[in-house]
Parts: sequence; C-alpha cells; structure tokens
Amino acid sequence: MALTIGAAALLLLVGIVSFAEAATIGVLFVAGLMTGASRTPRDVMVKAAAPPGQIGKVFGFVSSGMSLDGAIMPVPYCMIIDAG
Amino acid sequence: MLRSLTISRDTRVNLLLGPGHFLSRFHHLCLLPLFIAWQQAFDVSFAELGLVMAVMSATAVLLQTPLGFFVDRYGARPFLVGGTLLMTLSMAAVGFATTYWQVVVLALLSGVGNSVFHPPDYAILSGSIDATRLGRSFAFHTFIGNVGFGVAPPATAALMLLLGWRGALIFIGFLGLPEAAAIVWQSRILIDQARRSQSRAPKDQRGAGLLLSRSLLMFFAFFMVSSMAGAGIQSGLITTLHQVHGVTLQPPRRRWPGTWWGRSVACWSAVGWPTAPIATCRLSWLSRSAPPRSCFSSA
Repeated sequence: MALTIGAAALLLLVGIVSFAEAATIGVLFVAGLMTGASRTPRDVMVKAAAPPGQIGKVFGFVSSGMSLDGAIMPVPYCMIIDAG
Repeated sequence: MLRSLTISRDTRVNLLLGPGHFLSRFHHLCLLPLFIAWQQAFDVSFAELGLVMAVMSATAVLLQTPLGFFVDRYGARPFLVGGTLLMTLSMAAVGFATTYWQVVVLALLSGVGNSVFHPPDYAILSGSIDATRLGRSFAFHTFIGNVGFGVAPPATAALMLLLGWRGALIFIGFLGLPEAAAIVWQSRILIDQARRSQSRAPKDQRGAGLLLSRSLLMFFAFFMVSSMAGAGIQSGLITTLHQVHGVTLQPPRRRWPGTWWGRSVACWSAVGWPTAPIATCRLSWLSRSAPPRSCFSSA
C-alpha cells in the first residue's frame, strides 16, 4: 500500500513540478520501481485470501479488474488531455 | 559436478510458465507498431485500429472469471495448453488476413486464448512451488510478463523491418508453439492446486458468494484502481510530457517503457529478494497458525 501511494505521489510530482528531462525519466523510473515492488505482496495476499481449490476463480476475478481499467481508462484520460 | 548443475523443480516450473506469461503480455502490445502498416494495408482509421486492441482487452475482462471457474473444476493444464495454442495460432493467422474484419475476429480469438493465463498460472504455481519460495515465484512471473510488455513494441518494429508485417506476425505467432509443447512435455512437474469438494465448502467460500465477498471485492477494486495510472501512462504519458513540460519526442520509446522496465527490474530485484521472503513468511504464518477459513475472515 505504501509503495502504491509512493508511486502515485511521484507521478503527481511529475505533473506538478517542472523537472528537467533526465529528472523526469528518473522520477518515472522510481515510480515504476515502486509500483512493481507492490505487485508481489499484493499477489501473495490474494493467494492467502483464496480458499483451497478456488485459486483459479479468485485470480481470474481480480485480474479482470486489471484488464477492465485497460479497457476504460484510455478514453477519459485522452479526454482530459484534449481539455488541456 | 552434474548434481550441482541440476535445476530445482521450482525453477523448472518457473521457467516453464514464465515464457507463456511473457508471450501473453507481448501479444497485447505487439499490435501497436503494426497500426501504421495496417492503416495502409486495410485503408482504415486509427480509431478502427484501436478497436482491435479494445476487443482483446474486453475479451480478457469478460472471460477471465468464468475461465477461473473452469480451472478450479477441471484443472489448469488443459486450459493453459489450449489457451497458448489459440492465442498464438490466431496471432499467426493475422499475418494472412486480407480484410480489416478478419483482423478483428482473429484478435478476439487471440484475446480468448490470452485470457487463460492468470487463473491457471497462479493455480499451478500455488500447487507446485514450495510455500516459502512462492513470493519469489510470483515476482518472477510478474517480472517476465512486464518484460513482454517492454520489449513487444521495439521487437515487433524490428521484426517488421526484417520480415514485413505479415512475416513478423507469423513469426511472433509461432513462438507460442514451443511453449505449448514444453508444457505438454514437462506436465508431470506441474502440480495443480489442491482440490476441495465444492459441496463441502461453505457457501461464502465457493462460487459467486466467494467473489462477492467484501475482501475479494476490495482486492478487485485495488487491482483496478492501482492499474488505472498504468493504463493512463500507456495511453497519454508521451503526449502529456510533450505538451505540458515540453519534453522532446525523439526518441519517444525511451520514455514510456521506462516505467515498465522499472516494474520489471523491481519485481525481481526489489521484491524478489528483500520483500518476497517477508511476504512468504506471512503466507506461511497464515497457513500454519490459522485454518483456511480465517484467511478469509474478513468476508
């Protein structure tokens, strides 16, 4: 959770502060590191929450949440860009 | 000497499932460089080409949960092999497409195959890997998938230069055949998750009751919300940095895959070693100190 919030904070920082190009890439890289570092604890927690013999449906369900944002996010995000 | 070179069973399982996850992610983003070639070949707009990717993503959204039910009921291996073959042969068939709508239909079929990876992979990893090393195994699985995301656009672009867009797709498609053959060949080392009679499980631990429990809905929301930033970055970061901060666009690919590479490196180096033992200790502690139901006590 802390890693996810940290990554979000760094992404916000890129939006608010005007960094040099190299610094922008560096901050984004660290944000990527923090996001990636949050993935395994998340998966282990999901595994711990799955009752015996139910791992397929549990991971299928939560993974569909991940795919869902890939389907719905690009359009509103691009609308924000269009709005300036 | 030979003994010291022996690869452990856990490593073999990771090496067997990892390439499938790599290909699954690779097939998602390998389409991006093809858009320019497709626009000329099929005389369609970028919006219509975007539909190809939307179809693949929507298929994954719709099918992953039902496939998870099938995996729990019938076992993971048949779905893993079938999904890999369907995904890969559909992608190769796009190389022979003569109309735009053939591409859309084949993308849908490839999406069906692509949607099988997470439920069977995690079911097999949970059943095959020692609980004390499961965190590292999950980390490698995520890592190799993100490598697939990262290398897909430049590798596909390079293949297009060498083989043309049709040859590139046929080559990428056929990459999945050795993976499917390897899974069949080595299937004896892939142990499925422990089964439990559905009728004996409490109602809140099976079927829709399980998925609609508070804890799993919270996980679903966390997966979705925490991935939203990633989806936004994929679709708009280059434009935003260019328009807001004046970041130059040459060479553009240096920037947006930066976060994917960051994730990939982190999954293995940052998570795989320092935090995976902590995470797996917690898992071991949960399974040792409490019955399975209490792992789900917040439901």
